[in-house]
Parts: sequence; structure tokens; C-alpha cells
Amino acid sequence: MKAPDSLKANPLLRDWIDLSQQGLVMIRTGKAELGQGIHFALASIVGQILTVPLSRIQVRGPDTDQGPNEGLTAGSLSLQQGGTALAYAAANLKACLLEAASKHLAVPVSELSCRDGVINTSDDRQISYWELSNAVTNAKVGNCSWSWADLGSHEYKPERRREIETVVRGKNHFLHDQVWSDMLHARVVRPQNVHSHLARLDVDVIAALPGVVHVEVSGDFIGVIAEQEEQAVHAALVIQKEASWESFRAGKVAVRPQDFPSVASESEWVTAPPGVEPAEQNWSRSASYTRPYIAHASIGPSCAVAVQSGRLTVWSHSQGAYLLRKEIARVLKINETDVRVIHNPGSGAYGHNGADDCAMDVAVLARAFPGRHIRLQWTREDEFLHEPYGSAMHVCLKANLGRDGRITHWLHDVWSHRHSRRPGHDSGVSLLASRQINPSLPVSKPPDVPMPRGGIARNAIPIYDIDGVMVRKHLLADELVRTSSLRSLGAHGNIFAIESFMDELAEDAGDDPIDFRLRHLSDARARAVLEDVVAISDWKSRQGDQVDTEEGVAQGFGVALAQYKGLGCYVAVVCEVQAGQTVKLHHVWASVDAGRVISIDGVRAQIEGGIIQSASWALKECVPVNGDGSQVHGWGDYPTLPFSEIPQIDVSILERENLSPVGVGEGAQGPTSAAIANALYSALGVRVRHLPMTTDEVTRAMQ
Amino acid sequence: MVQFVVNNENVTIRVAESTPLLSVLRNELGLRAAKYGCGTGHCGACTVLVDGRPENSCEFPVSSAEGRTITTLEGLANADLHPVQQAFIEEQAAQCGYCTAGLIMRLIALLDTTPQPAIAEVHSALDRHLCRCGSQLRVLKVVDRLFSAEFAK
Repeated sequence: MKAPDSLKANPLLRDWIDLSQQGLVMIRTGKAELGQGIHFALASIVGQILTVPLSRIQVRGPDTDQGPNEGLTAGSLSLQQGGTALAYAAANLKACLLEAASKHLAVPVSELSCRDGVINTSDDRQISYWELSNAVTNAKVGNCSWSWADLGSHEYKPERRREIETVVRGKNHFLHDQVWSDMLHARVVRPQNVHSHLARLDVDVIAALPGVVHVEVSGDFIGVIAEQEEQAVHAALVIQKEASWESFRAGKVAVRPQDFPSVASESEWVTAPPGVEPAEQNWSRSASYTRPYIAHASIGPSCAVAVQSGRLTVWSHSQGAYLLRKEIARVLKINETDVRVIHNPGSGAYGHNGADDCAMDVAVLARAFPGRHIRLQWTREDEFLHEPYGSAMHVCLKANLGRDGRITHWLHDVWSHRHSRRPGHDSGVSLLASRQINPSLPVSKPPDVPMPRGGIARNAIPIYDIDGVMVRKHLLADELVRTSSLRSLGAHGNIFAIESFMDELAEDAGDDPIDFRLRHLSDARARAVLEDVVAISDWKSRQGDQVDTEEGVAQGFGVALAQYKGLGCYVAVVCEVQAGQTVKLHHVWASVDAGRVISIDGVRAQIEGGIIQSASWALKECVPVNGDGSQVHGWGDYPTLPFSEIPQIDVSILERENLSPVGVGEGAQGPTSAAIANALYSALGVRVRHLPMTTDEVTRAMQ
Repeated sequence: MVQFVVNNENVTIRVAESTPLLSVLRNELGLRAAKYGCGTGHCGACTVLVDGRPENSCEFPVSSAEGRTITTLEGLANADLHPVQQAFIEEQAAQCGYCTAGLIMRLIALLDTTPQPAIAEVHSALDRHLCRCGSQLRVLKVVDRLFSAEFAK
């Protein structure tokens, strides 16, 4: 196994694993703890290699001044990238420590053993890692090769994430809770729709309000800084009343996802362009599926702190500290080295939420009012109106079923906005304040994430053995609302469509949904999770079981599966719904193959969480958009799955110890939504192709 | 001027009467376990106990706290954890943990007032809280553990 690029770029081992504090192993990682438990998993890997208990290990997240640059914490890649890099670093460090001990104790390396940070000889002499730390202080990644098989078997122990104990004890954990003695409080005020600009604001009126120390107005950007938080809140309310806005052009028209194919877009074949025009194929079935704009809707609205004193230091819960630094430096016209971005935990983000925008806002304010720490807390409304949403999508599928019940041709067309618009792109700026301050810089038009990972077309290539698969993506030209990465990017919409369509084709073929899939599936790992989920859900005995469980309530089961990105974890899901006056997701079974498992409870938690979030997307969530932009102001406008509708969930993990671990954070998103739609069809005989599957949508589909 | 008891200590606060209790707890008293989530009482992240009853501190004016007894998560965390806290750790019932403090306070109140809740009572208590990471199933397992029930099934 090759050393990862991030390790080659940061070859000094103490940048990854620092032994400078007695008795402590300090891990520095470029991967951020977002609630997904990655720091627990990374500590487990390093602890196992160095034979040091977790109690001796601390993990520090991204900081542009310290530790490695590992890019984004995204894409279910933190174990593959960050985990592999740290495993390599730990193995190399251990080799260096053993070599140093061998010299010190005059014993060959082969006669040394390690336990709890102490290297022992067979005749009971010993030296600790920390006593040797000076000898290895300049050690770099060397020739010590490493593979996951070297990790050895691990015994299951109850897993306890340290962050959970911290929050359960009510101790400070979040950036939102950090306090500096000189800290000021800020709020920003933004145009409430997408086509209005600031016409007039009497800054003197605002500056005279109690506690206000600075009012920053630049272009359409308005920020206020006050001594007390409540004073900043009050000043923002006054600004909202006092500011006058004007519309420079007529409002744009919001395009419903159902109508995406009829508006301008940039089209590109994802598979090789076909020789025959696909329209001329003889399709036995075609269907269109949509999902709406979906909000990240983090429970804690974004927060950021910054101080300009010499350099500009920004604390943010961004998933990409280095990219954020790049955009801040560019917008404020300072050197990147004069900006430091430090990650502190925020509320769960599930992709690119308002974190970076909030950090850019506070950076602008800190530059304008240097010398003191400034804390900016976005409001719930700020977050809902201004976060970059997960894009709405439209997928049109066409297929031909042969007489033998096998699919012979397949065409997948997907229309969508961008699924990635992180800051720091070379072609321009991304964040709100970057666009609003005067003079603003051109807005970036980042290209779609290329295959095989893909953005719009992520998971658009079916996992099944089908001759003549054609996949085409269409990037919509016009954007009314900003869109960026939401957990699983385009995979959610594509898998929802593909796995719904497979059930429709199975019925055309007169086949059982499982048998139909298995007949088109040669990937052994995919077959294994499918067969496993069939077994744990007792699928076979449930067929023909779909009778009314009580008066007016129909029960149904549905299945779906995918390998995330065609590269990552395999997840197969069976859902049971009970459909009466409302659709109730009753029970979900999932089978997961994520290669080697580092943290079994971590895998379980990510799959459970993915299932619940995907169920919420599928059944409840929709950002209503009109010509003025987003219309979500608060939770009242954005229903999510409540506690009372949480299904029973059973997760089965098929571990493959000889394979590399892959992330599971996004693997359940697509299969869960599709399995719910398939279960609903099995219960009611109604095919719902447009998310969310609300009672209204089910009723529409019946007509 | 408002006087009340927070976590067994008498406090006197001089702020505008309409100031939300949440803001006073976090900014004046340094008690930051209760979180700002929405300011409208929808998400439950700010839940604290007022005379033992769960309240959304984000929309609870500090003037209404006059003479009353407030308990926040910090008021529980002594050397021995409260059974509700212990159950959250046993079940690892959090991902990011932003909603956790509010949920713990809600379940403490439920445990105190309704030792044998019906599932509808559990749901009505928990539906005042939102979690976006999807740790609800584990929170229901916490409830099972506390009440020797099987609501997560």
C-alpha cells in the first residue's frame, strides 16, 4: 500500500503524532470532528498501532498553522485519507522509536516489545516513547510500508466517544460556547430576497444605539458589532426596519424540478456518447423522478469568531479550513499566510452549510474593527434563508426489457444545479459576503465534480450488469438559489430514481424485486449485502404478507441497494411502511459492507443517522422556492421527521477484515429513500416519483 | 432587576426584562450547556428546568424567572452522573451533541413527573426536540433504559 499524498506533502511525523508532552500521544489531523466520530476512529487506529490506550491519546482537528493540510472533511473519505495517513505515520513512528530504543538499550529491534507507550526488552529493561521523543523529533515518513492487514484483529470493546461525555456533562465543546474576555458580539443583516439591493441605511442611527461599537456597510453587506449580544440582536432588528431595499430587476421565475428538462442546461455524456441517438431506442418503460431543494438545517445556526491583531485569526466549524482561508485572503486582499483558520466543532453540518459564510462575514467585520475578538452568531432565519442548499434534481430513466426479463438498454438523464460550491475556488468567490461587499469579485462557476466520484452524476451509473448503459448529465444554466454539497451530493437523487425504476422493471418482468436485482448483479459484495438484508428482514416470509394490519392501514416492504460512488461502502436497505391516512415508516433493516471496520459503533451510528436523515428527506423535507428565492424562515416552514415517527432500525455489518476501511457517512442516503418509495408501492400500489412523499404527494400520485 | 435561583445559587440580574433566559444563562452566568437553536421554541436545544418543569429558555423572558428555581445541565454534573446522563453515555446517544443538553433536561423532567410513561407521553415530550444527525433511535433507547420499556422497538 502506497503512502498517501497528504503524508508525502507533510512528511514530518511529529506534524501528525506529537510525543512532546509526557505520557500523551497528540494526534494532529486535517480531518474535522463533525459529530461523525472520526476522531475516535483515528485515535483507535493510532492507539492500536502504537499499543497505547485511548486514555493517553488526544486528537486536534484542522488548524492552518499546525498539523497537516488534508483538504476537506467530506465525501465519506476521512477514514480512507486521514485514517490511512495516520496509520502510515504511526507505523513509521513506531519503527523509528524501536530503532532508537534498540540503540539506547543495545538490543536488536526484534527482541523489543511495546506496551502502553513503553518499549521492553526480554530482560525487563525498558524505555518509554516519551524518553525517546527527542531522538525521533525530526523523523520523517520513511520506507516502512503499511497495509490495513497489519492492523491485526481487534477485540470488540464498548466504544465511548469522548465528545459525548463532554456534551453530556454540559462542558464547553462547541465553537458556539467559546468565550474570550474581550469578546464583542455581531449580527449581519441581508437582503430578504435574491433580487434586492441596499438602497439606503442611516448608519448614524445604528451607531447611536446602545452598545454598538461599529456598523459595517459595504455594498449589500451590513454587519453590526456591539458590546453585548442582546445589543447586537437589537441593533440588527433596527437595521431591518431602517434599511430600504430596491429591486434592480424583475424577480426571476422559480423552475420546479419537474420542469428542469425544459430550461437551458449544459449537457455532457458521462458514459461514452452512444452511436445511435437514444431517442430512437425502443424503450419499454420510461419514468421521471424528482427531489426538491433540501436544507442542511443544522440544529445550531452557524457561528464564527475572528480577531485581527497582527494577523487575522478565524475560528470556524467549516469542513475546509484551508479553502476558507484562501477565499478570506483573496476577498480581504491579504496574504494567505496572514490568515489563520482554526476548526472548532459546530452543530452537525451534513455538507456545506452556512459555516463558511458566517466565517467570511466575521472576517470582514474583524478587518473593519481590529483588536478585539468578534463573535458572530447567525440566527435560525439566517441559516435557513442563506445556507447553500442541496440541489433539486430531476432524473429521467428509460430502459428496455428483453423477452427473457433482462434489461437490454438503459438511459439515465439527470438535471441539476451544482452539488459543490465550496469556497477557495480558483475561478472566483463563493461565499455570501464575498459577493456582497464592494467591490465584489466574480462568482465562481466551479465545474461539476468529475467522475468516477461525480457530483450531479454521482451513482448515476447503475451497479447492475446491463449492456448499453448510457448516462448523461445536464448542469442547469441559471441559479435562483445557491446550491452546494449536501450529504451524498447527487447520489441521493440518482439512487432514489434507479432503485425505484428497478422495482418498476421487476414488476414489468413479473419478477420479485430481489430476484430481479440478483439476476442483474454479479458484484459479489453487492449480492452479499442484498442477501443479508433479505435474511435479517425475513423478506421471503413477508411476501404475500401484505395484508391490512388494521382497518384502513396497508403494510408494504421495499428494498434498495447501492455502492456509494461505485467506490465506497455497500448498503442494502429494506423498509416496512404502514400506509393509512398517513405514511408511517415502521421498520428499517440495513446491511453494510464497509471493508474493514475500525469503529463498529461508529459504523452503526452513521448508518442509523443516515437512514433517519434520508427518511426525513424522503417523507418531509422541501425548501419552497419562488421568484424571490427561498421561502424558509424557520422550522415551521421546514418539517422534518419527528421523534414520534422514528422507525425501528436494525443494522447488520458484514466486516471484511482484509479490505481497506471505507467511510459510511453517506452510504444509506440513496437506498433508504428508494426503499421507502418501493415499500409504499408495495403497500398501496401507488408509485410516488416526486419527493417528498407527503400525504398530498401520495394523493396526487393516486390520481 | 430579577432575582432567582440557578443550580442552587441565588443570582441577581440587571438586564432588560424581555431578555430571554437563554441569553442570561449563557452570557451573564456563563452556563452554556443550553444552546441557541431557533429562538422560537421549535427545536428544544435551549430546554432548562424552571421549578422542575421543562421550558424553552430561548423564549422565556428573564422577568418570568423572578423568584423561581432554574436547573441547567451544569447543575446536575457532579462527580456522579444523573441516571439520564449515564444512559446517554451508555447508549452513545449523540452524534454532534448540539441537541443533547435539551434532551437530557426534558427526560429528567419526564422521569420526575411520569415514572411509567405511555408511548404517547414519551412522544409528546420528545417531539418538542429536533435532532438532525439522526441519533433519535438511540435517544429512544435511552428512554427504554430509564423506564425499563421497549419504545425503540
